[in-house]
Amino acid sequence: MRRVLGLVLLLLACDSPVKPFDPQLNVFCVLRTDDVHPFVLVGKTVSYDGERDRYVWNGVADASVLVTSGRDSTQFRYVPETTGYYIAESLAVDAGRAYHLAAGCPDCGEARGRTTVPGGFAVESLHIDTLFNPDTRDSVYAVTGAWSASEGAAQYQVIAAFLYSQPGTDTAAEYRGLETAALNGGPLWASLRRSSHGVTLPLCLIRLSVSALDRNYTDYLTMQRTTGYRNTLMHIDGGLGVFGSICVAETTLYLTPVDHNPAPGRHER
Amino acid sequence: MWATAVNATVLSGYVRDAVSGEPVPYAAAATPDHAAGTAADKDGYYILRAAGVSLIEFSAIGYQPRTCTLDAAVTGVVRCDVRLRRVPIQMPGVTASAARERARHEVDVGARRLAVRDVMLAPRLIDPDIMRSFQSQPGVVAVSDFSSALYVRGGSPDQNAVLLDGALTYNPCHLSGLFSSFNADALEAAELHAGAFPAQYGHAVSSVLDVTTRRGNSERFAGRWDAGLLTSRLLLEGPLPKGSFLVAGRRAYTQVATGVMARVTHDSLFSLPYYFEDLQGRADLDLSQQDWLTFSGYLGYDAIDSADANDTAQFHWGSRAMSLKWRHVFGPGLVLTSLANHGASSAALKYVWSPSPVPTYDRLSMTSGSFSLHSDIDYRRDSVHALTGGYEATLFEVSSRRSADTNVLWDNQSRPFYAALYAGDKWHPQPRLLVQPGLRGEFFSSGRYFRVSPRLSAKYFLREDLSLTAGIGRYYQYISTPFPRDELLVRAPALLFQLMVPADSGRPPVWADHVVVGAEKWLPNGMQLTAEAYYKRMGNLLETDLYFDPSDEPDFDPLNLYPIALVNANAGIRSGTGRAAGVDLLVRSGAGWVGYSLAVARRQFVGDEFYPVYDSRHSINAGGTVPLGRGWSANLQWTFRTGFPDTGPVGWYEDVFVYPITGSRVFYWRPYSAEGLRYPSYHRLDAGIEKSFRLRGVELACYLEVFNVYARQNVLWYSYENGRRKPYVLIPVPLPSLGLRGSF
Repeated sequence: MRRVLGLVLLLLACDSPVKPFDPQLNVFCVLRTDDVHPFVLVGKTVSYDGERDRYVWNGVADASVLVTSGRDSTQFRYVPETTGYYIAESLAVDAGRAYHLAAGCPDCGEARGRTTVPGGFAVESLHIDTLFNPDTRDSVYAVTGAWSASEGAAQYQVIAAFLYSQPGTDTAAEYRGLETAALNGGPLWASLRRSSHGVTLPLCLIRLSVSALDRNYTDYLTMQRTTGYRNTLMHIDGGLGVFGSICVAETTLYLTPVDHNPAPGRHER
Repeated sequence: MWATAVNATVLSGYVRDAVSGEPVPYAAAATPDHAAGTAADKDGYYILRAAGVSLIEFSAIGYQPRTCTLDAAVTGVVRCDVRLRRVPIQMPGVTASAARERARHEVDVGARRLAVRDVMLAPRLIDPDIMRSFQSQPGVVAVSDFSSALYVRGGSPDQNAVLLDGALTYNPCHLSGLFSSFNADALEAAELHAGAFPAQYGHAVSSVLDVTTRRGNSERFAGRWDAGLLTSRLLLEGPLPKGSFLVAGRRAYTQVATGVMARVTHDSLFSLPYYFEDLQGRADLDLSQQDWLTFSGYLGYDAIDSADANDTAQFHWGSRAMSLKWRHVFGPGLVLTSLANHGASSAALKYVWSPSPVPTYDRLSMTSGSFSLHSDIDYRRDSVHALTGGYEATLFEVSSRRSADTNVLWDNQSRPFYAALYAGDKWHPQPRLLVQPGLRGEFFSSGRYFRVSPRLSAKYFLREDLSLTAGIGRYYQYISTPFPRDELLVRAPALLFQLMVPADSGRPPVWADHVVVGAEKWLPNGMQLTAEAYYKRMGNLLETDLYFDPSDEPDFDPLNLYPIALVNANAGIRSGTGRAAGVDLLVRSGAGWVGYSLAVARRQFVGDEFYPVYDSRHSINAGGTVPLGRGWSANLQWTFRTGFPDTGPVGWYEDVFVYPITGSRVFYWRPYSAEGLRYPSYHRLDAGIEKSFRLRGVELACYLEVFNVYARQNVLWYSYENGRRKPYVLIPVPLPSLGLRGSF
């Protein structure tokens, strides 16, 4: 009896052995409220110890990819001669709505994900402060935006786009400044005030685009900043990757006259 | 066989060493028929009630038992101080007799006791180390050859309270665990309460290690010294008017030894500009037959000073602990022990980067400590009840300051106040049953937490040689250290700075529930078998953010102190739960033992459940000392454990990075992990041989010890580079250590 008890204890204590390498589905899909043509990337993982081509996505061509939301379902189709791209003809992504992804292939099982698009929100204010530095004769622009809360958002990304005129031409050039995880109501600095000839470029408009990211995509981006190999932040059942969503809000501040720099001081919308 | 004495003679007094006059802690006193008996406390003080006895037998591990004859006419209160004589090597019969006598009168659920003699005889990596000796006990796990930290029954090291003469110690190790703080020469004994410990202990949810400094020789001036390859020790002791003193110092000259290695090998990697020194001491004054005053203190200092053309780094850290204890005997059954103590650890780091004309500085300073007052009162009303109670008032201080040049990045200070009241009883309701109930009430000012911790343990004697034990209790810990969940940081000596985080309104105190059941069996030939099964669950555990990567923001933290930075930013701290279960078996005979542990530990943080890196499923330890005659003795110690869990990469997936501006995509191959991997089994044999001799009146001992005798390649961790797993082995070859010690 004592031997049996000892054996049982030993068996209870043993972990299940590590399985041999089993390829898993790897999916990438981020739905956006400003994009009706989303895509899904479907691939397979490769063994850690095996040889692999670092530059080729190990795409799957025979996958079935379906995105559903309530009673609506959208089948994605494979784009021939690509490494695992699947696109939808049209899929309107609504803020605050839940979507489900199911991607599978005959020999690699099925991966499932779920995302709820962050709630609709708006950029409530935008202003630009122009500061002149007499030492460098530079103008520095500080763009400050404030937006309402997006329900369910785990992180915000902010893009400020500056459109200005090329001196002596009729063409417009664009510069964008990016700041991820920007503070709501905090300034976004840009120092783009000079051309190569030392002439301050005339600014035409500023567009502020705020993206509210769901938890899935936020965690995926967090993982991209790590150097480790853990993947517990992936929210995909039966595979790896991400099925996330973004709700976008934008606003534009037009500066007049269009052929001049904004005068020192504050311009706001 | 068992009897309850009433209207008895009350005997009390100290059990001391016959030669040095030092108290003998935990000695047993009993009538020859064991009808009445008791165990002395760690100061060697005992109280025994017995009716109509004429003989009392005193015994202790490592000492020859002694029988004292009482005058049959004497009744009432009798003072009886006893001196015991040491035996050269622990004889199974003697050891068993003393341990068994104690077992008759103490519940001792989850308790392990080590005499310093065992520690001194055990093969050591560098220095005799009481904490490393506990690592070979069932239920205690060592995570690497490097670290002396104790992982007790699924708990982490910050969940242990380490007491030195009653004073709470902080960071009790040198060089992140390579050496423990305690100089073994200056210690008397240590007791580890691995679970279900009684109500007098707080501040820990895993275990309590209660270390006692040795009392100095009250008969004559004496000394000991030990010269090893990396450290040297010197101890002086002697009588004081009405008392004694002991002072022990230790100095490591690691920088010299590693510097020689670096020159010989022409490899600067071997050079470690590190040293430490510590000083430990105790003074005792026997003011009267009723009053004793004891001062004990410890000071330790570590330094790494590194400099080259571009930068200078100075890491200085240390810890201190001191206590003043007053012990007053109101009567033979009533003893008051009051203690004022202070313990602290502090660390300072200064980094000067000077390739530019103006050097830039980075400084970090951290302090954790406490000032405490507490009193314990023991009242032995009769042989049925031994009541105990007390209070504790502690002011903690936890501070951390980081500055770069003139910029203060953070400056956090916290001074929470802790108060506790406890009461307990050792109740002997019937001859076969010992019950030890207790209750501890605690208050912590940060967050204003009131908590009550009930505790209960019991022992039932099925036969004279067989008893069953059980214990249960709730435990709270108000200051803890969040660790990253990273294998490397836990196993390797990377955490020079461990920030303690007090509970606050957003972080409730860590708690744990312990359930322990066990059995004690006394076998023929003086062998003792103990078996304990335990279950422990824990809550409000903390860990630092796993996913923060300092390399992503190199300007943020050039010193890679990101766990501390996160704590100070109050960010990236996750709260979780844990549980642990297992069985510990120990067979002991004299100076030899064999232990086996079965253990399972689990943690859960934010829905992510995993085996912590110190989950040691099976472990076996065996060791012992063998006298070879003519002053020779040999010591062997073998350790085996199954591999620790590992979350290692199993495959590659492609990660998609989308540029927000252009929407263009870039693909990166990244490894992904799977749980359930295990490191290879760990095993190691250490052996030592010692020759004792006398030269011109000086006792000398020459010793040779070999660590990792058969050169086992135990993997400390794996690195994963370029798709290949590379094992790192800390000590791949037998590591000899040679030394000479003496006493005068």
